[in-house]
Amino acid sequence: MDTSKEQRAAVQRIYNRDSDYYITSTPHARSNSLTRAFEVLRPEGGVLLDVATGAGHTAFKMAEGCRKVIASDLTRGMIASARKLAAEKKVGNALFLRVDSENLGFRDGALDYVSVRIAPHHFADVQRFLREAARVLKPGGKLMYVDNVAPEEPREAAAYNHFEKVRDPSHNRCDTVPALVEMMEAAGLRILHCETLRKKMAMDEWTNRPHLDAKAKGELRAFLGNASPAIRHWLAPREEEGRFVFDEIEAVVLAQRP
Amino acid sequence: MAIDKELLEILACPVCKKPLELSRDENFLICRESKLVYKIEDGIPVMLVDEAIPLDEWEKSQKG
Repeated sequence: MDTSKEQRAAVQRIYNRDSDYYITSTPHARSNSLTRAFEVLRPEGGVLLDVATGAGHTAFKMAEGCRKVIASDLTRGMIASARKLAAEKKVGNALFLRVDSENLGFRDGALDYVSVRIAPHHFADVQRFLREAARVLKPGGKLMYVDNVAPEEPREAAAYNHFEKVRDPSHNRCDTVPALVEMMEAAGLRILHCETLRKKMAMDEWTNRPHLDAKAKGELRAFLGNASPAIRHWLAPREEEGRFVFDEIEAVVLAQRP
Repeated sequence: MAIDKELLEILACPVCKKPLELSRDENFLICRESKLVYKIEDGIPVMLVDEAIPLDEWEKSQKG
């Protein structure tokens, strides 16, 4: 099995099982990055492909500005959840598709917009996804890319990625902002906007995932308790109103195919 | 559920990126270049190489 195939299998195993969790998951359904992604992209008509749509939150937000959105995911279960949410929200301009982020089944220059939000850290090869996104965009078409990012120091980045992987075995890697920018430019995209947002996570809610056992929860709590100064600075673990919270940092990047 | 016509216009084979042919019963998308057939499940095209059917197998199943 190649790495991409193994990674796709891990994602499908977990997301077919837990798909409905993402309909109500706070960071996916209600985080600032959802609003910011829409404000920064400002879609006006046109067709948008949302890659690794999950329960479809990003696709359905973008549907407010687009003529048509295509909510796509690798996993059958996630598409079923996205369809359910589209029906609940009465989204009338969404289509659904199962596709692999690294082999987008679209013609060259077919789309006005591509979006991806809180998902590339599951991809086996982000660079390949970015090349595919650039290929399927029309000249002038735009990519809205949102994902959690890692600290720039390699050892701290590895520790942070381990922390995420304990919680979700299908986590592959969060990249640093400079690495993302470099990969986008290597894919032939031009960066129009880049910002980072702090996203507060309540530890009990973050670890309240289906099938995460007490040992793993203990390991995650201990990681934050014993974290290096750099990780403490990055994740800012703290008590707030009797709850243990920390921050994830999301990059919101808008890039354009020249 | 029928496939959206505009979507059909922009879809391509994920391997060769060439246009696809819709089967007569509208349940499959055929790529003669890559010799692969992609299913349409309940109106949802499955554009995954891992789940595609080899063209010769699909042709046999259609005759049978």
